[in-house]
Amino acid sequence: MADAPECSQELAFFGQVTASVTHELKNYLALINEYNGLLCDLVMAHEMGRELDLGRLKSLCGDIKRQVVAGGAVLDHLNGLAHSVDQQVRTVDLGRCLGLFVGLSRRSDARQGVELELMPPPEAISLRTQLFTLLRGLWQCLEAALAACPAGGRLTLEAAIEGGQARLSLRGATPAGPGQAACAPAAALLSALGASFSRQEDGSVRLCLPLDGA
Amino acid sequence: MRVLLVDDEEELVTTLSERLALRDIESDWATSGEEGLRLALASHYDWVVLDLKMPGMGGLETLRVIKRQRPDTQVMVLTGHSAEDEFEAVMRAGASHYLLKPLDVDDLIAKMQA
Repeated sequence: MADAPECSQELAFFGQVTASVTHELKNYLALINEYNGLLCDLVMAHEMGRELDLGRLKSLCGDIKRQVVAGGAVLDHLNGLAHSVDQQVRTVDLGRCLGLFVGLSRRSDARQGVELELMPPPEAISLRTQLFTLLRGLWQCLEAALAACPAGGRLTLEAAIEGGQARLSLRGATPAGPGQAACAPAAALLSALGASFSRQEDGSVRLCLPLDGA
Repeated sequence: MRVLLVDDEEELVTTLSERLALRDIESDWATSGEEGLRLALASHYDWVVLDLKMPGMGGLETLRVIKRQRPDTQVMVLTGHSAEDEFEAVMRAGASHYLLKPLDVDDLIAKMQA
């Protein structure tokens, strides 16, 4: 993505996220399909004389409901991404934005065998920015952290106000090697956000953003 | 007939295994390519049903090793979304079928018994 024009990079980001999210949705539908199929199988077996296990049926109904709720949450996240371009610049609640981001990136980090945990900010943090651009910046920070995070690892996303800025940290990556150190958000993107990116000695990556009104 | 189901979605393989059992088909399951490969090489399975996109060892890599070391084992590959290049790679690696989720279990069995 680094060599593509900025407009293409935005489309590429949108494509990456929607590919990942729609794949996740397909998995929920596949599970619902199997639970429904098993319900039909058990009913058919009952019609052929097998005893009906009501507890199993109730359990399967609960399983279907759970997958519908989980799939609905994924759709909400996708809808959130679609609406992130509605306004060029607006006041963004960072805690809500991070919740949306973690929801959108869940499959992407799981595919690499890494769990991403969000620590909600201890206080409300407001930014004046374009939500879509902020999500892109977060995505590229995550890619930078994942490049240096072993499979089976855990990344923790934290946010706090520090030195008059919003400071986002992704902890859990190992100190990066020469190839991994090159993985960082694009300069044009950081410029659009008015942000600075750094990789700490312990491997964690950090994004600092101006607060609303700063 | 013995079947090995490999998918990182544990609920999917356990439910599918239960559905196969209701049709008197014996199955084992694994939730990673590595675990699936270990089972496939340690025992005889007539069919391996293998998800393509899994963390760690993906389905294509698992398929290649199975076909290299157990060429008689038939493999069906599952995917959420079809892609032409993916289809070609999977079939070139020796898969017998390339199936889209969600599955039709009776269609799956018909393909195994064909």
